[in-house]
Amino acid sequence: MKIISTLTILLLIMILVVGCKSKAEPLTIPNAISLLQNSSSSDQFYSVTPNKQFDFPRDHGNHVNYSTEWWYFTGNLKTEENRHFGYQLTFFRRGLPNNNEKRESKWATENIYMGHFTLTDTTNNTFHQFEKFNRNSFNMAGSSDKHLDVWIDKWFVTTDSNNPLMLNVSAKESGISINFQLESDRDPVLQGDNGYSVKSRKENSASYYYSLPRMDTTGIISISDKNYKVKGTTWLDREWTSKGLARNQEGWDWFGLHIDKKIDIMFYQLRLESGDIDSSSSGIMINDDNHIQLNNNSVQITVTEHWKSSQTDIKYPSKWNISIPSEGLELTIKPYISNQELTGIFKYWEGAVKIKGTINETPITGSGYVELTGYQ
Amino acid sequence: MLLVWKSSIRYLFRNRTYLLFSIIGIAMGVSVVVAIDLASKTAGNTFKFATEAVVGEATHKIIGGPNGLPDKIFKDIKFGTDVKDIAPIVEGIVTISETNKKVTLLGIDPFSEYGFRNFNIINSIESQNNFDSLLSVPNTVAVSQAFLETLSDDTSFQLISDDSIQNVQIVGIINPTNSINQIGFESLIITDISTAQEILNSIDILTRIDLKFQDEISSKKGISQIEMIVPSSVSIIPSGTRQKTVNEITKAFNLNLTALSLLALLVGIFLIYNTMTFSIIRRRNIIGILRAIGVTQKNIFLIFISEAIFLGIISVVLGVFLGILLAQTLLELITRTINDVFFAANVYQLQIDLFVLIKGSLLGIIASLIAAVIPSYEATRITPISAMIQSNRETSFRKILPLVSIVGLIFFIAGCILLLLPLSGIEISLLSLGCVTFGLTLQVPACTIFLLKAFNYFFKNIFSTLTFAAVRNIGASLSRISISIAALSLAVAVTIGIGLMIGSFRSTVEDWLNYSLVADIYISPPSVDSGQLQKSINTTLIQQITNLDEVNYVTKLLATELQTTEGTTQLAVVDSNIQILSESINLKKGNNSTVWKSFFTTNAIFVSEPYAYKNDIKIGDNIQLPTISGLKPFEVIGIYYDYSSSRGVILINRTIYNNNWNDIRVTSLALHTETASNSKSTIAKIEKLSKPYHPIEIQSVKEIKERSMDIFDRTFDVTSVLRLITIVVASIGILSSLIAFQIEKEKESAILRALGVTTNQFQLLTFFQTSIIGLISGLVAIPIGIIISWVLIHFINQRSFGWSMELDISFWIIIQGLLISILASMCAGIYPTFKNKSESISKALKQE
Repeated sequence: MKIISTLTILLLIMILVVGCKSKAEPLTIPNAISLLQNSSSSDQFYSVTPNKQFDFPRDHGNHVNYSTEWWYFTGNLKTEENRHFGYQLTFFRRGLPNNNEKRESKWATENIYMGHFTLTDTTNNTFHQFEKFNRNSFNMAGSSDKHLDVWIDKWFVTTDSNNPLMLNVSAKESGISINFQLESDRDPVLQGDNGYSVKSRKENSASYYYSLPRMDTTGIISISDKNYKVKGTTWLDREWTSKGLARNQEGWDWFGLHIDKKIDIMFYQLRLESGDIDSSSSGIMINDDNHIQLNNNSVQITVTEHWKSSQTDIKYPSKWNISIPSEGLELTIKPYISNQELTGIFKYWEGAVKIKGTINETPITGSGYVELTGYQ
Repeated sequence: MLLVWKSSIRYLFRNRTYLLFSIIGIAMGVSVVVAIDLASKTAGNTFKFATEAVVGEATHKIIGGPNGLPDKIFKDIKFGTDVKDIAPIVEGIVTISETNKKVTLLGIDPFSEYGFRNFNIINSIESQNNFDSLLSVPNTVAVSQAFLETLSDDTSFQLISDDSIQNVQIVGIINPTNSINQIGFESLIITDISTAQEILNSIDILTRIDLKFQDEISSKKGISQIEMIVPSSVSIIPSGTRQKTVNEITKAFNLNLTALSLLALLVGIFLIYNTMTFSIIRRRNIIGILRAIGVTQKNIFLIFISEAIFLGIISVVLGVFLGILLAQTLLELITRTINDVFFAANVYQLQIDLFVLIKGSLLGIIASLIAAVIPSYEATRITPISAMIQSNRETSFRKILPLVSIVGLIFFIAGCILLLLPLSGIEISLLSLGCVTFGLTLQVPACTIFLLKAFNYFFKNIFSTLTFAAVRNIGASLSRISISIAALSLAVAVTIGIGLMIGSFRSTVEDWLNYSLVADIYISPPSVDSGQLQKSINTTLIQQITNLDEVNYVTKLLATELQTTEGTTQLAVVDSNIQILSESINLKKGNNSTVWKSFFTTNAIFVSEPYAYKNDIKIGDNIQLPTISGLKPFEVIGIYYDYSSSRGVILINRTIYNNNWNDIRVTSLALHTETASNSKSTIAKIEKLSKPYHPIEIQSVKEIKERSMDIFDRTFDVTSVLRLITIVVASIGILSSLIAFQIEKEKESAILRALGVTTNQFQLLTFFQTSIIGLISGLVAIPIGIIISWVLIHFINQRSFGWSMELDISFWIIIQGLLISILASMCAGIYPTFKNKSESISKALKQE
């Protein structure tokens, strides 16, 4: 669940359209929200409606009739010596309002892309983060409308020509690079109501949302010319929509968790300005082939610790107890390292977490990713 | 001691009218200095900030050959090298319809802009358009708040680019991240690079690619990586190069103006000296008495220095105020000249720099002090006895006169030596000019005596005794009047000097235009500004024009720019025949009989005189130019006279150019028509032919000459204003001296009037005296003026711009100077004349 973060980030690109030595005043969420309201004035984009028939691999590709879309890869990996790494590689597409005029300049663009690439090096307690923007002019950034191909500059994901569920993921920046092969043995999991994911009942906001929750990942991580052969699991989230954040929503906490015994859990809770949790908060638990829908009432989340960023002074939750009583699940979630805050144009926390707990009183462990936005 | 100060205050108060004129004189001197300083600093800052706003933090830039930079190169570099900070730019000059101001249109790729330019863009509140339309909707722009305020509509405006009017929507406000450089954004429109390409008609072409390297090592590595993948016609140069070129050009221009302003202050110094000397003479008796009652020399000195400081302070306050007012006018003139000659930027508001004001004030006060030291020292030398001897001062003045002349001579010789030294700095030249001028001005008193003697000799039998007495009277008060004459002479000499220089420059340019414009009709696209690609003329149209019956021959020209490590080099590519070329190009150096053949057949070039001067190029030297196959040497076989560019031009033959640059564009045509044909009807025919094509300007040789001379004259408007001010300052000097002179002569005139000289006769007498003073000043000013112009032409201008010109001593300019001198002097005489008339004879006599 990245909808709000994505929309906000993409809108912030607009606000800070011109780079300013990255020392521009940070924009507050209310500002971003007000811009968000303005942005939906364009009628050129389609609305998200229920009962969509998903069509793969086509739906892995782009949907330019919707204003916003993203490809969100997060994963936990280990070397043979058990050295842990976390990674995030995300691509956002934003359709721009235009009046369908034929433009002469090849720089003219209808879509812009943003990328975030992070690498968590647990052993060294280091978090590497990079941010990129580009337009789809000259194919400097872009995505396919047939299968999962998406790129921005030298960061890219391509689909194997023989298997639409086999991907190559590659990114390189300032001496840090990843080069992974991803393969899913499961078909895409449709989130919400068959892929129709309500984000605010009050404002009738929704997105199309599916995941490839457990992709086997192998490849090389390279840090300053030193290569690490790694293996692990990646979670891919795909979402597209034309509508933004509701006025009363402040931020969200998103959990994507891989637990042994092939249990995968995704849950997001939308925090309201009032301090309550939006009833649209939801998720899914996949236990083998069982898909269990989760909602605000079936999941209980308690924050037990906080961490304050010395760079932004923002205080984030940093330890949680999650329980899903109906499934006999009790989990304690803790970041691998505290500082996994992204401090680019939009500030948020997204990082690798380790999981300990019990299912029906049997001990379990796991790893996952958590995203925290809207904190101040 | 109180008594001493009281006497000083009372004196100042009693002579307030006279003092007022002195104060105004000094104030005007200070005001000119302050005004020039403020105006040129404001203009300079604006241009600097405007360049900084556009260049930002870039350390290097990639620029294309004559055909510009294909935008594909950007992607090649971005993906093919490790260079991270790289930003494509499309930039050009457009005119705002409403205000008719030229501004820079800067097209950027926001996604490449990290860390390059110091601004961000915020949503325009007024705009109904969403801000992100800047990226996707055509003709959307962002402007600064200051720019917005110059428009009547804050949502959209019209701009003229490439001769077509376009409507643009304001969707964003430029918000500088550094408040100091706010001014840099006042003449800037920012758009997405796509919009800039469309508005500036620069599809597929970039103006440049900005690069930012953190250090020397990364820049070396980055540049070598880029050089490996880009074509060799592309060059990578440091970003400051353009700024450097502009700085050098405007520096010479500003220095010339500053020198002129200092001359005005020099006139002011003469005034203070005059005022102080006069006030001391007037108070000889008082000083004598004070000394007799025991006031020390030190106290006397202090009194007079304090008076000078007091005068100085009042004058400076007034001067600074006047300076700010004057600066506004000058700013417009300076900006216009710089825009005409160099590049576009608008100055909306005068920046009042406190430092400039303090500097001007200090200069005024120090000048007052310097001018007051000698008279104050003289005052201390007055003993109670010597105070009683009236003629003492005149006698001592005559005694020191040879010394004054010798000091003057030393200054003059020192100035000459400085000029002839092989130091080429403009500052040194200006200093030498100052020395020469000052040295000559010190000869004025001696010359005055000589001229008065000559007058006496020639006129003693012609005029009445009374008239004769008037002339002799001047001679008797030489110690006072000669300073005024020197001040007026200096002002008039400067006027004559600059007048002659401009006149010579003008006639040289006119001659050059007549020499080089040998064709009958000239065709070119509407003029564009530097940094923009000159539009070429359609080849079909060229063919159609060539085929016209009236047209005998067509010379084809291409004006383009090459980027070399030294900066932008202007290149003129000519396609013509030997006969026309040898007729229209006036060689300064080069063998006229052999160069033409080499010009057509070998890798040879001509360079213009300023180019040769600035780059120290001699015949036979080789210049490395970036061709499509890399750097190649071109031999300089001729240096020719050219006044079209102070930066200098390289002239190359078309065939040689095509072989090396593979560029077939033509940017202007010169048509040689049938002698019998009417150029108007030919122009009409060409206009008809050109309708389907990109607009072109067709001008007869007459029109082009007129236009060139118009621009020339506009360039020197600033100097005219300054010359006028200097004359006014000098006239005030004369006025205050004359008042002093008349006050001195009160007794004598009362006696004359008591003896039966009528008021009319008396007025005539005064009038005659002032005219003689004006005449003498004017006569002395003529040789000084000629020398000044000679120095300006052969040293200052040569060293500032590299142009050589012939001194053309215009009789009219000299007569003009003489008339100005006499008129100024006569005007200055009006007030004392009437003052004298109203003075009661008995009161004046009673003073005895």
